[in-house]
Amino acid sequence: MPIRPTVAERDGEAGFGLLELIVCAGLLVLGSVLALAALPAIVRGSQAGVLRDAATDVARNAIERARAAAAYAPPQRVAGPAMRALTMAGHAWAFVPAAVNAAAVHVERGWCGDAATDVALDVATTYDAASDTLQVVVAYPPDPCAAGTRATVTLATQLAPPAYAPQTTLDATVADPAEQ
Amino acid sequence: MSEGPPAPEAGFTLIEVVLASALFAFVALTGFEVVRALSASTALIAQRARAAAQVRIAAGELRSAALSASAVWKPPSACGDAVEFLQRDAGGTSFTLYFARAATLLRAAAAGPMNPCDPALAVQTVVGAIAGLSVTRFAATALPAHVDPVSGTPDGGILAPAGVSAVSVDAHVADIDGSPIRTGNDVIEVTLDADPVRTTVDLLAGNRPSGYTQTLAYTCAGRCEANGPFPEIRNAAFDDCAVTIDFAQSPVSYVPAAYGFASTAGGGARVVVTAYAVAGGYAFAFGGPAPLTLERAWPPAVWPPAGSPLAGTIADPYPVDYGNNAVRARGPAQLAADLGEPAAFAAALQACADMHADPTYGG
Repeated sequence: MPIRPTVAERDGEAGFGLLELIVCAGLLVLGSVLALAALPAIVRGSQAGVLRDAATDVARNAIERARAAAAYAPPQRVAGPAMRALTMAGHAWAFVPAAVNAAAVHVERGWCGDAATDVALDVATTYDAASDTLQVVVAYPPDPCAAGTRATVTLATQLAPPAYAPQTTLDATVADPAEQ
Repeated sequence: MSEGPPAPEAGFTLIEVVLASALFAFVALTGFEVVRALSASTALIAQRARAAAQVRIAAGELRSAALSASAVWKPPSACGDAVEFLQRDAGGTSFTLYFARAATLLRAAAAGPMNPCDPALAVQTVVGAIAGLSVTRFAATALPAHVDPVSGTPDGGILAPAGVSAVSVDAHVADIDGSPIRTGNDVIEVTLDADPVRTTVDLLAGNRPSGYTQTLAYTCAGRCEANGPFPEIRNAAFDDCAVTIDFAQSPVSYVPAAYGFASTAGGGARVVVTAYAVAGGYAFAFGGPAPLTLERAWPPAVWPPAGSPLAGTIADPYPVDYGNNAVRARGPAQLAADLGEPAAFAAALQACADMHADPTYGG
């Protein structure tokens, strides 16, 4: 025997109203628009590592140049035993205690537009004579389109002890074999 | 008992169907655009990540090569900048060259210096797409005035100019143009212009000379005349020379080439150097009416030499005195032996002694 649908079931089959449909579609469109609007930020966020790597390179380069500059003591620093001992105790003769400078990283395709751009970095370098340690702190914007936001990369290295007193010359006279 | 008539089902009106279709089309198109944009962004992110990773690897390779190098320099090139590394170990001397060709960073290796323009070089691709490669050399004394390559602002403020000393000594290997390759504390700055960022790498040779210099002085009454291992100063036609010849050795460098372990009293072990790469040579400076400087550059040798009872064994810490990290002072004959040519050195001295005895030259 067929069963008649109840009133409630008939009401359930009535479907959505136009208003409901419009609201749903509007929500979907809104979500899509928001997703599209968030894309540039997502792309920029995914590239934060690139800027961090660039800041790390700036710090490593600063340390490498410092190592080169401090590789050999000036001749006058190794002239006498007392001065030589002082020189061999560290690298204070090659550094000042602190310095700051501006640097930049060149981005081939800008995140805030299509053109290439330079992203500014701030570099602070310190030398601690007591521990013979050089420290470089590079501040960079994780989001290059929001330059006010800064993150930092810090590299520190204890310089290797000086090797043989640099530029020391040992003189030797070659004896004439006929006179030996 | 009969059933009643079916309930009426109203369905959608035409305007509802049209509106719903329009909304569906709009939503579908918007969704498609979102998916397309996401896909494009994902591809761009992936491409940039790959490019960045390639450049990172290249920069790491350059730094690693510099760390083990005895010399890093910018070789002469008519087809763009290049950077070259000289390595010395117990196996001898080797060279690695990085250069750009057709927007690609390439690498080549050989037993001698290479010409970046040589089309016959056997190369490997390091980075597939770069916009350019530039190489700049900075003497250490120029580093306090160094400027950031992108911003152009000075970045050497941490350095005390009066405390910076540059050392540049002959590595006793000639480059492709015949000029001597030099080693010391020069900085070679390599800039890789690549997507997504331009990367600059500052390089310093890790195995640079200690700065130890031994100068040998020898005084002759005139120029030698005999044939021998130094023919450039043994020509009897040279009778216009001054009464002295300064026989000076250019710096000798000892670079650890092999390592081993030595037992310690406590039952442990310590790392010791078992072989050194030795480089050096002799410079002859002539005064008088025809001043001239000639250099006898000996090929790099390994001490202990092959065939020596010490070869392959644990060596004593010679020539380094670990008490003060100094190279131990060596006599000239021993230095010549370390350089692999004791016979040539002895012959040179003997020739000059012969000259002393020759009345033609005031003996």
